[in-house]
Amino acid sequence: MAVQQSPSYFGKLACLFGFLLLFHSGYSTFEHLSYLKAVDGHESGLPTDIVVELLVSVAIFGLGIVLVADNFKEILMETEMAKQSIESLDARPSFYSFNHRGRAVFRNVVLKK
Amino acid sequence: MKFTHSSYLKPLLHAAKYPTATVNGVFLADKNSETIRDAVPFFHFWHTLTPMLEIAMTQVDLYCQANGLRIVGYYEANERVDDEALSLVGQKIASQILQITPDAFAIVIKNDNISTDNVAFLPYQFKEGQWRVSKGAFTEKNEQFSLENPASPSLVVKAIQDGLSSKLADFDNHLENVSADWLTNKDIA
Amino acid sequence: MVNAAKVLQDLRASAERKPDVVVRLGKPLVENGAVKKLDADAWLVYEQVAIAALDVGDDALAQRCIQALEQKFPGSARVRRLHGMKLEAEGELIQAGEIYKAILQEDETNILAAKRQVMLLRAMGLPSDAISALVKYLDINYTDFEGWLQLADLYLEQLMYSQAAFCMEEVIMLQPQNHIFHLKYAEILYSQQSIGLALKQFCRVVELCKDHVRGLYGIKLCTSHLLKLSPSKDSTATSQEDLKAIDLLATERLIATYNAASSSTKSVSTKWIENL
Repeated sequence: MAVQQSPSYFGKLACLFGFLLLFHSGYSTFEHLSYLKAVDGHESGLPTDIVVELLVSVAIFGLGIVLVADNFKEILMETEMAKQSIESLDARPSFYSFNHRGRAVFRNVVLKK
Repeated sequence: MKFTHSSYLKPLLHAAKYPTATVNGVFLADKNSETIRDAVPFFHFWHTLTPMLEIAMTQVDLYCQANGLRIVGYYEANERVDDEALSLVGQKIASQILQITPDAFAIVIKNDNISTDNVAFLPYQFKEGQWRVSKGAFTEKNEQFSLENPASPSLVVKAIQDGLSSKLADFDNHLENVSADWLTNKDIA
Repeated sequence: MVNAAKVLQDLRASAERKPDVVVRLGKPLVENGAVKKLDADAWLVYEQVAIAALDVGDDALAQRCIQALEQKFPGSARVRRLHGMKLEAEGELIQAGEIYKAILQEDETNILAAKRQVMLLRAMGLPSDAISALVKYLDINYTDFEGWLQLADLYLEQLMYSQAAFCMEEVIMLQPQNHIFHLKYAEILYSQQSIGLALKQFCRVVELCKDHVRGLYGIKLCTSHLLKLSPSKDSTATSQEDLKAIDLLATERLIATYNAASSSTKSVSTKWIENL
């Protein structure tokens, strides 16, 4: 089936939320480092809550991406090839000829939707 | 040979479905009469190749045996719009049918007449060692080739207009999708 | 409109020739100007609709599309080729020939014009000239598998099976993973009575594309013929046991395919399969 999944709104929401959390944890890191600089403190690694926020944001973002992405295509060429018809693969569009019956058949037929 | 509407309609729908290619198929008649009951479309590509032709002929034969019919004729629509000659391949197939049925015939579709009110069948019969055009067919006095329903040509034009040709399935379609009903084409009224 | 554009795009990708569908969908797009909203794709749609319009005899629509393309791409060889195709469709073969000759004089390597010249010769009713022209083209562009495919078809129209088989061999060398080319090669081999080789090619089709119905039918047909012959002394020929095994496999796969689908012709097909 060539139909795409209908957009998963939950997925998009999760992506947005994950991104916001990621941005927030990044900003928190920046603030923390500026604070350390201001008080001449030692850099002892990031506080746990920022790390946790970061990991949670990645998890939520990952969930969102998986929900939003299209179905995977098969990696084996065989499955893609099997879907193609002989008319498609034997087509030779640069070699069309035009003296066929199409012009006679459709001359009196109105082609409307 | 009296052609029912179904046997007149299907070859022309086949020709209209694949307007840029040569198409061919066979005609089926009732076992003991000269009424051409139906037509079975075969190919719209690779018509010069024989393996699938052999299979199609054998399967149609089995179908005929089960339904009290017989293969009695061959039809083709040439790719070139002005080509009304029976092709070499067509002659070979028609001659094969002739070996089973002495009253076998071949029809070449007149491409110019497909979507007009004129009859679009040009019959060929094997006379004096060659396939020759049967003159005067489908005219009023002609007993040999006639249409059961004289309104068939105009009904065909309407069918093509309505897009009915896309519903026709030939043997090539069947080989790509085995659910396609190429023998009876029940969806085509 | 979005749906129409998508269908047209799919048809461009699959290269199927469905001129009535293209005109049905494309004509409204062109006439009410909606095609311009497609940005870069618009020109491809114009070309596609132009060619389909030629196929169904709507010359006014074709002219409109070609003019739009000419305005955007003045002097382009690709648009001039479309002009040539329109003349071909109208039956003005000599004028079309002049256009292609002019394009080739400016640029010897223009592939599109060279290919049109081949088809022009065929349209003029000169199949052997068309074949010679195409052979000359392929001498230079021997990796053009579309050209080899067309040459195979030109030979098949003249029932020259062995030459067509040679062309298919060239195609297979260029595209060995494509099962359809093996299938066509197999059918050509069968048509010229090389049943042993045809069987091998049919097997290759099914190897490349599992449960390919046409390939399986071909296998059954070949094995049934070969089993009827007395065992060959040729060491390269398939042995009787192998033939029986392949036959059994093809039978089983065909019956499985028919059982899986809801086919109204199942009884006839099954009878054929079992009778053989």
